[in-house]
Amino acid sequence: MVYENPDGVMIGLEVHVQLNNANTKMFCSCTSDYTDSEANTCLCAGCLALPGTTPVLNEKSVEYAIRIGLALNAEIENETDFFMKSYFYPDLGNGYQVTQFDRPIVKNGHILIEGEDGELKVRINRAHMEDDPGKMAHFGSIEKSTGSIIDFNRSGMPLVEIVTAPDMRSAKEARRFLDKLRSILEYLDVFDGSREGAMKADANISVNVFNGKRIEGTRVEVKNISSHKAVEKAINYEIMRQKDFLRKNKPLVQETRHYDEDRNVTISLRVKETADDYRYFPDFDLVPMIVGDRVEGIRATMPELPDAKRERFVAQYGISDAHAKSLVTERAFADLFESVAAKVDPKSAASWVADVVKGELNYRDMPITAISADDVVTVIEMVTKKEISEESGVTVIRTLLDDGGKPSDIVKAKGLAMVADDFIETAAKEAIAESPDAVADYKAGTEKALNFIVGKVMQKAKGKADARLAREMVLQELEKL
Amino acid sequence: MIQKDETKELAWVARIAVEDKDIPEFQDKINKKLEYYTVIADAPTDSVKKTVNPSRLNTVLRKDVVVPSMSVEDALKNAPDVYETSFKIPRIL
Amino acid sequence: MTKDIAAFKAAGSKAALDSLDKIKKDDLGTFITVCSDAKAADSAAGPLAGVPIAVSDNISTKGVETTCASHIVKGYVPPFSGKAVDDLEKAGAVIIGKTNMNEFGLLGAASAYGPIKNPRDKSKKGGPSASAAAVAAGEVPAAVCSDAGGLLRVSASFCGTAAFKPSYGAVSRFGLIYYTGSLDQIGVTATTVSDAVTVLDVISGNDNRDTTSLPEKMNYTGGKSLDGCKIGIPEEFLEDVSADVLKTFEEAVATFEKLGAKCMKFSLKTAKYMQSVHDIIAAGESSAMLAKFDGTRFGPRVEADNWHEMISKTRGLFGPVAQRRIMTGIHLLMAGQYNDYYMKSMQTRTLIIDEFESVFKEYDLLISPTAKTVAPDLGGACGGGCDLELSSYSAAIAGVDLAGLPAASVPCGFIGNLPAGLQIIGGYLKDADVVAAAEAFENATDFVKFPEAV
Repeated sequence: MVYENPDGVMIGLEVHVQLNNANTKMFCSCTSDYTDSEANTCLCAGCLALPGTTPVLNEKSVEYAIRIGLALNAEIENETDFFMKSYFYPDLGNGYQVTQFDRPIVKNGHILIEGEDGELKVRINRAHMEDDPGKMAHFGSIEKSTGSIIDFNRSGMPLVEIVTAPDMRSAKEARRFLDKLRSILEYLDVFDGSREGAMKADANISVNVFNGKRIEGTRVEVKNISSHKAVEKAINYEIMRQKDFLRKNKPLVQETRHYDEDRNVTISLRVKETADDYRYFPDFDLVPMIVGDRVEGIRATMPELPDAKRERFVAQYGISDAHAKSLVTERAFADLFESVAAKVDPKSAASWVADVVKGELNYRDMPITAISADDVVTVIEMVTKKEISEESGVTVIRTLLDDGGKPSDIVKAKGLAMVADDFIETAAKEAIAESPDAVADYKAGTEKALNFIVGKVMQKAKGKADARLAREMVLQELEKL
Repeated sequence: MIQKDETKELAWVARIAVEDKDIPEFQDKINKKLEYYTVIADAPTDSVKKTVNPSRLNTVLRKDVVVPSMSVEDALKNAPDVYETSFKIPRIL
Repeated sequence: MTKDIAAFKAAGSKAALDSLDKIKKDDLGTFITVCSDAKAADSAAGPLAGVPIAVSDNISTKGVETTCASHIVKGYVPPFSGKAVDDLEKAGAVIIGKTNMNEFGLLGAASAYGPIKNPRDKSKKGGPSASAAAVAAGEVPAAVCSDAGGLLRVSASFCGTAAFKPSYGAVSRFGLIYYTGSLDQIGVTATTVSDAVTVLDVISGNDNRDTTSLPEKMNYTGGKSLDGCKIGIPEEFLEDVSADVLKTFEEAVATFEKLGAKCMKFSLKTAKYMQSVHDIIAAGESSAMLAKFDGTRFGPRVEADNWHEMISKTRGLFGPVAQRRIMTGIHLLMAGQYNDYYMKSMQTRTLIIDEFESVFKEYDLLISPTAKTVAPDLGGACGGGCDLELSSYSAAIAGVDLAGLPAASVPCGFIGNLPAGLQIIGGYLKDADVVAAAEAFENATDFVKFPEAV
């Protein structure tokens, strides 16, 4: 199947990734862990851009940028440097952002995603390092506010901005790209995607086909897409808007628009500056970085990435590709699966971890740390040994998540242990003896009558019997008659 | 050479309120410099690398170890206006 | 009269008080802030125990107002001290106050705190920084001051003190409020070269908060003797030098010859670019460095209806020279101009550094007049590149900054009662050679002591 892309949509993304797993900020030794702190308590004179401070680059942010580059199958620039990008804004204390310009640390990479018509290669043009500004909040809406306040806790956080080629052809592909990217970044341990502002995207969108004819589309940049849920909506809105303009023969302008998540619209940002001249020039406070000699050392510590892991899981454990795909999206699930698969049948492990554990955790919005591999193994073993039913196994997992405790205690407390086989045999005999009509019906060929007898057995076992076994026992006893 | 309106525009980009009466003097003095700079035009710089800083050092990096932050009192001490523990400014638009 | 470190030390616990008294009595405009309760810690020990030292007002001092002599920084009290200040205090020094300077140290820019008078003649300028005037007047034995464009060296030349600007990176820039970070470097002025080096030694050394800080502490001792030394005189550094200053320079050359050095004139081809390149780079860097002064997080604020208007009005507090410097820098960095000016300057800077490197294969040292004239009149033109609002007084000053070279200025004669200065330039990291030559010259001449300042 070939995806026809009827509107000739081209989407490129600029993704800002906060390297919040580094302990410190990019150019100073302030903590990067400011999420729950009061405004302006996690900073130094440098974060506040007080005069007389000088930047010193965090070794970790360089290592993380290189890791990202390697994971994006990209080239790492041997000699790289920083530039100042100047503009006045209240949250940008220095009046310039420290970023990279013509020699980004990472260039020419790609990642593979599931496209509309099979595997799609999304090219990465570049990824560069830069620092995050502070955060502004307004009294009321931005348009009508009487004033604003600024918190510089975020100021100086290390960022990597990843810039793709316009290779995505639908909002769905853009979302899949972001999902894949997030998954890779989490594998690399460079960021915690659950933290606010950890990942933000701007999208460049153009519609290049109208009335079935190729046209020169207009590139519109949509800024401020902060959640994965928003990305599809924002892009689809913008595609719709551009198509609508084309249909009505209204002129499209190359511009930057702001996505308003609450109203699900993009809004034009009318900027007063006549031209965006950021006056990039080399940051003279820093010296050049020569990083080529670090690359191999970092490559040696690279974790196995999702694509490779998925292939290995299928080959090594003989599990289905669907299970493997589900397991590798998060490194922690993949690890949990492998711990469990080491002790029980890998196929059961895959199904329990991917279908049950993952689902129950997601339903509760709980982290994977809420459950241990040992407990999962215990539950699977109990089910395999028919000590409990599959349904009871799920109950145990749910109880573990909701109330904690040990699987064996839960089985005891809830009375989930299956009754013994000889009990079922006795119960089957009793049930047959108590149901002469049903037996007669069955003998006469009414299959349904069997269910009545099995139901009786289950009643006697108070649900703690394996339904299949109960059926077998009943059939066995009926044969004897 | 810059024109009068460019001089005004530069003042805005620099976010410096320059009075209209001072614009001609600014324009003149900046232009004198630009004229002075023409001397570098004949410097033989083809394929010469740039020097950003006279330091001969490269790759000066810092270990990723946290140093305690400054106190919020120190952070706000010099602030012209404060709201709770944030810096307060007039509206942005 | 000037008093050296030993003289202040001899006053024991009275040293700081003597300094405060003298500053109070003088009317030279040397200090913006005086730490009137300054006194030596009882436990003061170390090479500068109890010695009053002045620090220029563009170096941050914790808890002491730091203004850069600008209206836009008025009232700013840093919550931290510069590395140099911390080092001075650790060495037992008493920070006696913050010296006056041109606004941000910009040549031709007026201080918001009034003019700096020359202690040798109050009708003359004391220089772009008051650090030398404070030393020449005997208010302090030494002053720490940064030097881009001659802030320190030219002031020393005007007031007849010794000054030393070390190789780039020798003293941490942490806490220094520079407008051009790739050209600026903290140095020291004192009555003698050896006193300057005593203080410089205290404030030198690696600082992991400044990327450009040299990894090893600079050693200022053990430099080459002048005997057999080859000294180069770039002819271009003598252009436009006033006849009387040139005469003192020729006498200085004779002194060096007498001390066994061989002095030779030669042509430094890149000299003609130095002032322009210095100015273009300084303008570009200024436009970024001075952007943080916006009335948002510190400093005064001129109220207005919205933020952009507020910062524009607040930034109107910069003096006109600073304003033009920022605007020039912005213009030069814009896409239309960048390649022809800024990029070209960074490349020409490489040519300049390369030429210095090859010159220092031929010569051990270079010498030039520090300033082209003696101290000019207080109200009049400021001389050299200063009148064009350039960032450096001369090519001889600019070249040192562009290549990050060590340079000393020592008095080399008097015209009337106004001193002339001699600049001694060394190769990159050859600071000790400069110190040795400057000390030898100082010992062979008598200019440090004569004639006395007021």
